[in-house]
Amino acid sequence: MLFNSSTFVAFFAVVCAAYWSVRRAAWRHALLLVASFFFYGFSDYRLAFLLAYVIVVAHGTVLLMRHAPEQKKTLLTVGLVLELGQLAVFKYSTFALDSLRGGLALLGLHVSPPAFHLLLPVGISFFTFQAISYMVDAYRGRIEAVPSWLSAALYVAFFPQLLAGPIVRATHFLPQLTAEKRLDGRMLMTGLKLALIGLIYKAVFADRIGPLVDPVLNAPAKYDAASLRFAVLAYYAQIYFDFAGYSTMAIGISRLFGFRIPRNFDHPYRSASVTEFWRCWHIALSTWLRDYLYIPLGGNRVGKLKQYRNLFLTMLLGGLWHGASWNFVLWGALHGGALALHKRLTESAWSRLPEKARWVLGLVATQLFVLVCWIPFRASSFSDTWTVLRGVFAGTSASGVEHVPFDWIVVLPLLVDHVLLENKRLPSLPWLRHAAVALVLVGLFWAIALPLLRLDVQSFIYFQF
Amino acid sequence: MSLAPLAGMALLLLVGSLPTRFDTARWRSLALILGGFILGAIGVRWAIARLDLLAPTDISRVALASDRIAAKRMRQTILVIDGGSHTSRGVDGALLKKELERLGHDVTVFQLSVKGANHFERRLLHERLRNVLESLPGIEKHRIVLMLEVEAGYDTYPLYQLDENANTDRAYAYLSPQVAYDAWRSIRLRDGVFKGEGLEKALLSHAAINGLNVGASVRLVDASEIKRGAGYSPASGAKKRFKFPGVGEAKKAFQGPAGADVRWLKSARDGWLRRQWAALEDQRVYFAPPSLAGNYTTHARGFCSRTKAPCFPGDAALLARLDQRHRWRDKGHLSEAGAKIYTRYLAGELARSKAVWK
Repeated sequence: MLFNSSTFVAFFAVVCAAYWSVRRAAWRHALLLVASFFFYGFSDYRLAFLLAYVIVVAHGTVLLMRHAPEQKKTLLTVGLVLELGQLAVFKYSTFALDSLRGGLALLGLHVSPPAFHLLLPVGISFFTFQAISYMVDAYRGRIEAVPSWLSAALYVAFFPQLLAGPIVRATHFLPQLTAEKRLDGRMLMTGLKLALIGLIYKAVFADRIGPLVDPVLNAPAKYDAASLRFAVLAYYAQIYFDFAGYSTMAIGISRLFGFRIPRNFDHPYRSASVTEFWRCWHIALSTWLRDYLYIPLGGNRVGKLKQYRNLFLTMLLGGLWHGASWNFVLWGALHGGALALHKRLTESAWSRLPEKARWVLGLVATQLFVLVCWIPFRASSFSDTWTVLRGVFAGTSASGVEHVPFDWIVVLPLLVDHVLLENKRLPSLPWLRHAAVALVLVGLFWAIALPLLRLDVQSFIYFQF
Repeated sequence: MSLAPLAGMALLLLVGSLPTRFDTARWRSLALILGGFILGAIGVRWAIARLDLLAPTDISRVALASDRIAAKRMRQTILVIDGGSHTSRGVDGALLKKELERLGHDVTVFQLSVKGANHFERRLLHERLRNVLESLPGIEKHRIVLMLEVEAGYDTYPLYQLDENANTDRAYAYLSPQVAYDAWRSIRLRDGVFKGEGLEKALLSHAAINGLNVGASVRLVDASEIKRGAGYSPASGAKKRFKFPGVGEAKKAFQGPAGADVRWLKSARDGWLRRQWAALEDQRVYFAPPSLAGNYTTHARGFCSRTKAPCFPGDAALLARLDQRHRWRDKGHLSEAGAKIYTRYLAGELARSKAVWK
């Protein structure tokens, strides 16, 4: 069930009305849990069993650790193996077997490992990481009171952020379950406003840019160099509006149930360094990787070379988290390398450059780098990556005959979003600050936004992860 | 670049500038938001009507062709032909006009039939044409004749063609809340022939989507982008694998017993038509385009025997003239050659019935 579908609008209206009409917190949470399982199993009921498995393993591990603290390291290891095991089976088994076959073929050994035809459960990486952080936080003693099964299940399965995050920490979410919630104007306004911004990102921008990108990058050899450059630029915009759109909608919808979910994007295309980019892009994942991978590897507490290695390894695994493909590994490696390089640069003459010059140079270099890195991220194979790279940089395309004209839709919305939106230097209209006017306007804007929706809705890019 | 991204950018900036830090009570907030939403939905509906945005479907195509005819000088008698695919294939509006003029009748013909259109789509066409005609000066001096198709499927099954197309773009285009309500009322008349399980859900969701204008900017286009075309849709010849059975079965049906179940027509459709056309309607005529299926003829004869209005079920002589494969597209639809024969026959029947004025 997609947020930008009429089915979800009806589902949400029913669940939200029922949620606020119930007074007892436990009943509310039970309702949300049932709704979350319905939401997840809507397309395929079998997915609900997988979600239940992840919850049982995570919370079972936490309970056992509380009962047998002396065994908690072993228990955590078992829990992690079980969680990562299901992720490996569903997401990486085919990739691993294909890679093995390819590797052996290079050695002259031709084998045919058994083929598994497993469905890839939507959002599996997101809720598995959430479950892992829950177990690790409990192991580290950061969760003071062990939550009930209901609370733990709702934390993992909460439907607004179940399919594509943002990945929320148990330490952030669980205390909100015990806090009293009252629906008021501020909550309604914030929720509706964020959900509407997300909807505009997705339905108006991402879904309109998608049809310009897909034909070109699905068969890059057919297109000329100008079309390839345009398609890469278009994808740069599409992936931002698609993913930020989903995240913003998720945060807005969560707010309408009284939950606060941290921001996941903060104008990443304004970043003047790769380090800054990762502080603004998919913030939930980058902080997760920092806290549960980079720091346990030694983080900044080790020597320079080891720091660079840690950064590289963290991003390499971050790339693999996105998908079972060598293209994602390459994308992660490029970002890992760039983070290490930036760390090195900040300790060199670079830091002595005037701030404005550093910002301009950094902005151009970073955004060009990010843009180029989206090529392997989007391409379906190394050969497609190579074809696009050759077209973009050398201006050559294998047999490019088709041409896609430039369309400003890929640039203008990004400029509006990154330059004008939330820009405090812009003059504001005083009458807009009046609560009643703002509330009427948010309703009115929703009515104006609905006609912009497509009925044949498209899926979100990040669902595949 | 289309209008939607520009509108999206403007909307994004406006939404982004809305404040969120204030304290307003829950019910007051909900009332204000709902008020704003209703205002917005009404505004969008008004804008769609003002901008003349239409769904790119056959219904719009025929409606626009009718508008073009209505812009010309109206003749003394105005014929409004309503029907589904049998009429769309079988009645050439231009030829009918020519034939009637040859017989000395001054007519303007609106051919509103649409292939596969259900009663609710056809109702929208009537509504639009009625509005156009009503606005013409001196229209009350003209004689408006409604020519309604008699067809066994449509006449006995209120949701004919709707259940098969309920979840298509075409259905999204016309199931307005009012139309959906009428369709729902028709569901309540369900009997043995009803087979549209789950239609209530489709009616509800379509009505909500259209009522709230969801996706309207994507589903609707400017009227200038729609190719106009009359309801007549000639078929060049028989379908490739069509085995012509001859007109024997249909001919026999003219001699056997006649019968038609017209409960629904009487209780629902006649009511819409009366309400829509009210004082404008001067005469009603029924006609049944020929079919090779005997049950269609049986139904048409039964129908005609139960109505006081002029009704033309066809006859054996007409079928004899159509007794060649190339005059049929398939068992139920005429080809262009067949349509010419039938249209001339229909003109003759109309002239004889005095439904049209000299």
